[in-house]
Amino acid sequence: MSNTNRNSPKSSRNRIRLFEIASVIVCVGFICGFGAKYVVLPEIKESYRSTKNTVTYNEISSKVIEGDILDRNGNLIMGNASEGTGSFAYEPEAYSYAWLLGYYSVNSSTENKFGLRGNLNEYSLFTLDEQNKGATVNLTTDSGLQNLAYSLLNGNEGSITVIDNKSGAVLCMTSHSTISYNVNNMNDLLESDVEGAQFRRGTFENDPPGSTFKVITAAAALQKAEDEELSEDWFRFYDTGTYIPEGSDYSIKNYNDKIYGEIGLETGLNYSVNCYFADLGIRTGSEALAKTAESFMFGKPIEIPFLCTLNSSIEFEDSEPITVAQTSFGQGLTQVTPFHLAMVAQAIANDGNMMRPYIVRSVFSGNIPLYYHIDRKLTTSIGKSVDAKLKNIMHSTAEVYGIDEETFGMVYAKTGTAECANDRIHTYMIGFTEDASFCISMNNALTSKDIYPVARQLILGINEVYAENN
Amino acid sequence: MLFRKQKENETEYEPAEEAEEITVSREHGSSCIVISIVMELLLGLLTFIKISVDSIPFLTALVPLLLITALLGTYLYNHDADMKMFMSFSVLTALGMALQVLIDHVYHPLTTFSPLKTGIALAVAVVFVLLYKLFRMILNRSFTVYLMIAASIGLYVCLYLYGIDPNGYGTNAWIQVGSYTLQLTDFSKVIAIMFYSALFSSKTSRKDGEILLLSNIFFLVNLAGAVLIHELGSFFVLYFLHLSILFIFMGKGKAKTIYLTLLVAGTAAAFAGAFGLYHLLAPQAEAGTLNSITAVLWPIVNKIHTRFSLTANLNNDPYGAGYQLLQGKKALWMAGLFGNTVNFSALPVPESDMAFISLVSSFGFVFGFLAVILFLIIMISGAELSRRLAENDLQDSVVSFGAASLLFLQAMLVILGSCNVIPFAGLPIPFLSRGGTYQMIAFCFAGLLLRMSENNGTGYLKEGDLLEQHEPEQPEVVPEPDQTV
Repeated sequence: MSNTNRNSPKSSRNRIRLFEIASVIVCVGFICGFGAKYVVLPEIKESYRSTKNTVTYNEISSKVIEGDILDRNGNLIMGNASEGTGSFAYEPEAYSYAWLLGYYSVNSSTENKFGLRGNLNEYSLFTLDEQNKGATVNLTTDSGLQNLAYSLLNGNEGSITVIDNKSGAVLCMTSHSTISYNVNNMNDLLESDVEGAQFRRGTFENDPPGSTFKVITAAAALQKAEDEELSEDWFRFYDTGTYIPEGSDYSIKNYNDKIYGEIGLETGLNYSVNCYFADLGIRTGSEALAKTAESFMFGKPIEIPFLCTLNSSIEFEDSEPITVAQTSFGQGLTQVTPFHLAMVAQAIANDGNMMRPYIVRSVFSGNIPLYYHIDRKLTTSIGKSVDAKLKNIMHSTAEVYGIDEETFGMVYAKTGTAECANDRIHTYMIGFTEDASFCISMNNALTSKDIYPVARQLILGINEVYAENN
Repeated sequence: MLFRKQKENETEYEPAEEAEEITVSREHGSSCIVISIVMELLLGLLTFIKISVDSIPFLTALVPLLLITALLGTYLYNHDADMKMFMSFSVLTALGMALQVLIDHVYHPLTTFSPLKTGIALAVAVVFVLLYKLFRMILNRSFTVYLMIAASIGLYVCLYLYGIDPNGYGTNAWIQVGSYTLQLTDFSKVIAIMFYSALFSSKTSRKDGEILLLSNIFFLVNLAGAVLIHELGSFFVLYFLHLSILFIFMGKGKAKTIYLTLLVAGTAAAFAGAFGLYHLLAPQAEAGTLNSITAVLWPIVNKIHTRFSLTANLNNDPYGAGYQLLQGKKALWMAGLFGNTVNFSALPVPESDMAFISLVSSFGFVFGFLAVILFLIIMISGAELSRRLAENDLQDSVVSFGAASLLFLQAMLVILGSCNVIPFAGLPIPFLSRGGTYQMIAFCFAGLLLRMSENNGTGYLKEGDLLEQHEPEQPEVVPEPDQTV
């Protein structure tokens, strides 16, 4: 205790350095820890996002006025919310939009969400203006068309999707299951799980595309013919009503065992001749077929902002003729959603350019824009010349369905019936007018002919929408 | 002669290191002024976007703030001051003012933010810095340490007798002067720096035993005073200051090691004892059978127990003692990168203790983390300044380290406490919280640090008044052989 304070400056300097290091560790640790917990993880991890949303919702649930949802014409789809009650939809929108809008709620500190309302909660519930009202969401849908499509389903399981040809905007996406619910009844919504009730068939139902895939096979063949400068004769095929791929004992037959004799691509597509397309697919080759399917986004995820991501698959396994043949006319291992099929039609309608699909046009909090969609091309599916040839064939096909030019304008279409697991039959019609593309999907229709009357009314509805806007 | 001798024995690379630092400071000096001005303008814009016309008090205050930033920045730049430190002070000041204006709009606290008070605090700081040369002379006197101990005692006695609790924070840390209230405990930090500065003055060479004895007396005076007025938050800051200054500036020795070890162990034992005492006294407190001694002890052990229990688990008392921190936690969840978007306003004491939480809640984690980084810059810059000054005068080194670490320690103790990382101590955050007295002291420390950093940390020595007494101790720069031609 008798030493004088003989501390050397160097010792002090070294100890100060230790203090500096400790300060840096504390600050960096704090920033990393809190940044991860409150900023990064809620963005990338569902459990953290759910905690954040639950905390936020519990805090505001009694005061928040849920933001309005409007259609493309500014008509109120869902709104009239008061503090803490949530938005309200009147009939028929309460039903026709129910499958699309879904819900958002917090029960027992657990976040429950589904559909657009669930996915738009960041805006409609968690971005409040001075009056505690959530942001207003402007959809691309046309409520008249949505209601028409819902009534056309007539209580049957199925979905109808309509997309604008030029922009990729969704004009209508309606769905129906045997379990019915009202979007205003939260208890009903929460009692049923997604698979059982809130099953938005247009984007969730992954089944073989059936004969609608023949459009892809035709596009691949047309591209091959163009690349290799093949003549029209290359498309000729003598149909005997049965086709046995090389190396297999599996016999492919036409619908109703029909025999068409010598036919070309147009007749093959007009009458959906399975044997013709089995042969054409094999001659085109699995590689070219896969390439064209990929250019139509088969096997690739497609994001619809705020709604969901579409998934599909296509496999040729060992490229055996039987697999290629089955895939060529829409069976095999290919799986796709009805919405995706509508996008295939949209790409053909739009000179081969597939647009990014979207259903939320913009989100505004008062006059402040929070989100605005800009139209963007997703991919170029086919070249213009192939596209033009395909359009011609699809137009004559639509005529075969009784969708004549005089009554309905220029319409292009192709039907399909897929044999699905558990002996289910899934029937489709994809097509497009000069303005919009569509996919009608019916689960309990016996044949594709059952869809013709639905398609005719839908096309008239589409024409009416565009006539009003023009 | 003491430092000169040691300097001669040291390796020769250190002066070269200093020269390098000077160059770095000059290179980035002007950009620090630009960054400060841009950040102040950005805050003005952000505040206007968030609260529109209610941002006028801040936008009005922004005009003189920008002028001060430009003029003072230019002065300091031309005097080779630490510009990173200047940038940190100016951005934190702007951030604090913007936050306080926003708090008035969102949380409607009892008091309203007054930019005028900030102006007065700044003016006092300017006077303090100008007069610091006189203070420094007093600090070299041997009686100063005793004077500071007496000042500490006087401060706590005054608070015990006349202290008030105007905001209901549970501590009599304020006194009423006319229509104004002064948080007198904040002055204990100034006294502490002056005490340690005098203790390590090169003019009064003290033995280790004397240093330990005097510093311990000062420490105990503060402990007793803090207990007396129930203000443990400020004491924690002084505790860490006490530990760090003795650890850094005392020479190596057995006495120092034993003392610091005993102090840390004693602290741990005190907390353990407080927990034990809590369980012992809780039944008596519930039954209302506390005697005269236990009645004094109970509020303290109860406070310590509550603070630690809440840190361990907020849900122990979510709507009572834990309510403030629980609301803070909710605010953190809702804050996001740029502030909450749900008009969250249920945050107790947002203008003071919870200023960091209200900053994050209002401006987002981007600005919250920015504030932490700026406090770190202040700490590092102050510590580096202290390291440079240690070469010339230990007293100046103690002052610069003390001022920087007080700002940093108090900021981090409150930030970490309000985020429930450590037990929460209700104190204002330098530059961010409302509270004229502490802001004045924070500005005084800031001014002092900047003044001392002039001429790369030799500002006072160049003035001539101190040059004489330290001239023999100036570091001798040994030129490189190839530079002597």
